Amino acid sequence: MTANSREFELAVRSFSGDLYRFAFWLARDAHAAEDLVQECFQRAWVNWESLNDQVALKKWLFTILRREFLRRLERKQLETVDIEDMQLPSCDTLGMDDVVGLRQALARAPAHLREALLLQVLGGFSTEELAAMADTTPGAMMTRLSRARQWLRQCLRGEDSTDAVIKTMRKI
Amino acid sequence: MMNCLSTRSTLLATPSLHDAAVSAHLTDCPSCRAFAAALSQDEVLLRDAVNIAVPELLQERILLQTRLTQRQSSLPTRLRTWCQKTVLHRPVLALAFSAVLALGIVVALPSTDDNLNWGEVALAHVIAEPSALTGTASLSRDALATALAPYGLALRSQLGNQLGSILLVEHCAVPGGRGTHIVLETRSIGKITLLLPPSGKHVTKGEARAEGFSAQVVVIEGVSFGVVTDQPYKLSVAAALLGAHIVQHG
Repeated sequence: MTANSREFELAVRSFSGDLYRFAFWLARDAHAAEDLVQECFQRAWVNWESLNDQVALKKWLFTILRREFLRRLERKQLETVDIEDMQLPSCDTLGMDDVVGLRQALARAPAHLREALLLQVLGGFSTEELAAMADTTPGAMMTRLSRARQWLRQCLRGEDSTDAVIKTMRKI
Repeated sequence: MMNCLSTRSTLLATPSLHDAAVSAHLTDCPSCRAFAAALSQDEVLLRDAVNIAVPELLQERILLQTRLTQRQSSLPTRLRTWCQKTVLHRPVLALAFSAVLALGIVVALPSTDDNLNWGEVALAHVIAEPSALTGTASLSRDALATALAPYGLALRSQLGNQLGSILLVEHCAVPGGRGTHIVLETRSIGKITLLLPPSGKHVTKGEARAEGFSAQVVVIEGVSFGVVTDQPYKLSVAAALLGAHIVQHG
């Protein structure tokens, strides 16, 4: 096995799980998610020689997958999924109701908010890295992430953090 | 100096990042401290929510796809087509195929052996290694006897010529460890391929057909042989040949 093959295999074993999860929540379909991950690694392998920075590997893979998702969406190669029909994974952890509710809320979230949040939670990328990946500014990305979490809180609890602060301020 | 709105907005964007300004505000504001604590709990739930199960053997399918791409120019078109249509969608077959293409990498079995049809594994192995059927040089009887010994098997002393020439005896990567790949040129039915699982490993009997080959599992003295021939009718003849020439050791 060549050094490149070894590195590639290590990348597959290290990152395929989180890439699959990212793809699943983007496409909201398990089969589409697997196709996206396969295509992502295919493209990565073809261009493996050009990768000079192993540290940036994870960001590179997530970027490839994101672009492939957008490309397929643009070409209508992804079937639209009715949220009501979406097969959300079951959950057997404590706080099951909250996790299930959160999954439903995440599935319903606006695409640009969902994507930013997923990249942060699954990829662990900084705001600056996320902004570069989305071709926007760090300030705009901060707003996007903040709105994404507000969306989820609103769905789960009907709570808007801005309202809460204003109510608190009025008591003072 | 941050106020509650800007602090909460920052926390919502980056819950785990408490810079000096945020920390200073949290020190002075119990309400925002409570908000930060609730947000931390929400973040744990969020990580649980996004952390869905990954399909079984996804990594192996990805690696197989890549290896197929690497070998694309050397694989016959119908083999590539079969791989794309069938192998990639069958996790265990993909595992077997990937193991062969990787040449020497030992792969782990799936958590259950229930779907490990050894006939399919043997077939995948033959199709992945077409060169194994092209050799003509003959090996000694001892090579075959040595290969069978770890399985508690031996050749019947009066071998005769009916079992034919021994063209290949090789240990190779298979699901679960290292198996034994044997090619015989028999007098009655031509070339047959045998694939034995790792010694002591239980496999499920089954049949398979693809690309002009037929495969089934034959049990000889308690050991499962994956038998592959180029005609379905030859399988029963091969089974009879093996039963007649292979016995328990000692």
